[in-house]
Amino acid sequence: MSIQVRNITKTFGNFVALDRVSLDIPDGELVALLGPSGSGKTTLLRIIAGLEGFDPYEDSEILFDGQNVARQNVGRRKVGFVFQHYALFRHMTVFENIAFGLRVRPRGSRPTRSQIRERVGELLELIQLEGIENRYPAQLSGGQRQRVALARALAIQPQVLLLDEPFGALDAKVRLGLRRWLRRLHDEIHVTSVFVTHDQEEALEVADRVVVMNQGRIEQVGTPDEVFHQPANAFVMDFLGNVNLFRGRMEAGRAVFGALVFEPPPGAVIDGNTARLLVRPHDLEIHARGDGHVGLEARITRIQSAGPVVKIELATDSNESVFVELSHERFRQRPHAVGESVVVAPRDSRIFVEEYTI
Amino acid sequence: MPALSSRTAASAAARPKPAADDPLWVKLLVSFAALSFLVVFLAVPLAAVFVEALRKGLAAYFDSFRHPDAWAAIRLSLLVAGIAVPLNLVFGLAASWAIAKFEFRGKSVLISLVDLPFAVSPVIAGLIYVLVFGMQGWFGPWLAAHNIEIIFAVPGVVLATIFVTFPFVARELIPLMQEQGIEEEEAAILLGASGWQTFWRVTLPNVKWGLLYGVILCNARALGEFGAVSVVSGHLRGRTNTMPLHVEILYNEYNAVAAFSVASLLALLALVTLVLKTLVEMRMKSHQTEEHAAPGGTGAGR
Repeated sequence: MSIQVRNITKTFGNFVALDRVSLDIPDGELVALLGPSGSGKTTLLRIIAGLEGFDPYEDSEILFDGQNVARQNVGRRKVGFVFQHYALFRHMTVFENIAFGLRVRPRGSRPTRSQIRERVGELLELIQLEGIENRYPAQLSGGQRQRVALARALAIQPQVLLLDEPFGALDAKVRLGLRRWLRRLHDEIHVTSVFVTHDQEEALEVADRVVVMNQGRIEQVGTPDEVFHQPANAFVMDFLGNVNLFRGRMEAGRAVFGALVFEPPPGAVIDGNTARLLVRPHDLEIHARGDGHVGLEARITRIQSAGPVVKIELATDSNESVFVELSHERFRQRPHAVGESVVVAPRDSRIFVEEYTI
Repeated sequence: MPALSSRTAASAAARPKPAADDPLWVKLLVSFAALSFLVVFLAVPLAAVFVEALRKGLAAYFDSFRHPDAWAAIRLSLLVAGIAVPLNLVFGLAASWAIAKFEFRGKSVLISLVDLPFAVSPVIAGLIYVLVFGMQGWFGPWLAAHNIEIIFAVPGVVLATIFVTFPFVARELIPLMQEQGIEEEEAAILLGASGWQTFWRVTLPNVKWGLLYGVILCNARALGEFGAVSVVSGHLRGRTNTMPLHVEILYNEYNAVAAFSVASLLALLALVTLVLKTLVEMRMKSHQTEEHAAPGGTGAGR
C-alpha cells in the first residue's frame, strides 16, 4: 500500500514540528526517516499512524493508496506500529500479546481459537522465538521484546508497518543483528514500511529510500547511494557521516578556499558570497610540502592507527582542525609523523554556495 | 610482628567499618525509646479496647451486639460502605483515567477538586450538606415539600461518606497511571481495539493492585468516618447511627462494655485492613521489581 503525505503542518504551541511536509512512499518500500532529535521524524510517523492529528489546512491530507484516511478511525487503518520502548502489554504473556489484535476483532470477523493459535505459532516462528510464548515481557531481553512487538504488529496483517526508533533502546551488538534481520524480514513479507532513526548508518544499511529531515522539513529524499554521494545540501552531507568544512568565498565567478580554487556549482552565484567546501575524511589526500600538489597547508597533530583506518588530525595555518582517513596500506607506503608539515588536497568534494546576499 | 599486622589488615579489609558503628548502649537506648513509644501510643490503646470490651466476660461482650441499636449501627455502617465504596471505585477510576491518560483544559482544576475532601475538615464537609439540603438550606423546603429526607437520614450519611472518601481511589491510581504512560493504550487502539476493549483489557489489568489498595483504604475510611457523618446524621438511635457514632453515644452513657465492644469491631477491622494493605503492597512491589529487573538486551536477534 502506498502512502502519500501532502502539505502536513504540525505545531505544538509555538514550536513548529512539521512545516508543510509532503512525501510519497511507494508500495512495498522500506523507508527510513532520518534526522536529528527534534527534526519532526517521530511526529510525522505518528501522524501517518493516526496517533497524532495535524493542523487543519485545506490542502493537508494523508492518503493510503489514494484514499484519504484523515477522518478514518485509527483502528481501521490497519497500521502495524512498533514503539521505541515496545509498549508490550505487561500483564499478558507473549502469546496473548501477539494474539491481542486478533482477539479484539468484532465477533463476525474474529478468528477461531485454533486459527489464532496457528497464526501466533507462525509469527513466533517468523521472529525465531518459539517456546517462549508463556513468558511475560518482563522476563525477556530487549532484543526479544522488540521482536515480540514486531510480531504483535504483524498479527493483524497490516497494510503499513511503522517503526519508531526500532533499535534505539538496544545495545550495539544486538542492534546490528536485529537491523539485518529486519531487512531480510522485509524482503520476505514486502509490506510498506517506514522506520524512524537518528542513526545514519542504520538508515543507509537497512532502507530502500532515505528521507533526511531537519527542523520540521524534508531536506532530501533518495536512495542511500543518492543521499550519501549526491547530498542536496550541506546539512545532508554533514548529517550522513563526518565531513570537513572549509569556508571560502566567491571571487571572480569562482569559489576560492585559500590555495584551492573551484568552479562553483551551476546556479546564480554572486561574488562575495560565502562558499562552503565539504570533504569527507576519506576523500582527503596528504602530500609532502613542495612536491607540486596544490592544497591547504597544515600540520599533523595526532595520528591514530588502531582501527580499520588510520585517522589523522591536522591543524591548518588558521588553526582549524582537519580530519583525514587513510587506508593502512597507503599509510605503510608513505608514513607520516606528528608535527610534520604537509599539504592536504581533496580528491572529491562538494561546494555549497549561499545564494543570497546579506 | 609482621604476620599479626598483616592479618589485622586483611580482616579490616574483609569487614569494612559500618557507617553507623555506635556503641552498644546507644543502640539499646534508641531502640528502647522507639519501642516504648510504639507500645504507649499504639499497642496499649489497642489492647485497652479489647480488655475493656471483655471486662465483664465473653457473654457480656456478645450481648452488646445483640442490642437492636448496636445491630442497626453495624448494618448501617455496612450499608453506607457498600454504597460509598463501589461508587467511589467508579468515580475514582474514571477521574484518574481522564487525568492520567488525556490532555484537556481544566485538568489541574479537576485534580484540585479530587483533592478537595482531603483539604476540607470532615465537619465542614458535613456542614456543607446541611447548608445545601437541610431545612434552612437551599433545597431544604423543596425536599420537605416532596417528602424527601436527606439530612438526619440515611441518604445524608451516605452522601457525607462518599464526599470524605472520594480521593482514596483516585489518589492511588493517578500517579500509577501517569507512570505507566499511554503507549500500551495507543498500541491497543492501533491493533483495532475499541475504547472499552482497551480499558478492560489493557488499562484496568495494569492498575488492578493499585485499585485494590485504594479500595481497601476507601473502605476503612468509609466505615470509620466520624466527623462529617456526625454532623448530618442527627444521632437517631437505630436509624442514622453508624458504628463510630454509636460508640460515642454508648460511651457518653457510661456503658463502657458496650462501647468498647463495638469499638473492638472497628479495631479488628483496622487490623484486617492493615494485613490486607500489607499483602497488596507486597504484591505491587514484587510486580514492580519484576518489571524493573528485566534483563538487558542480551538475546541477540540473528
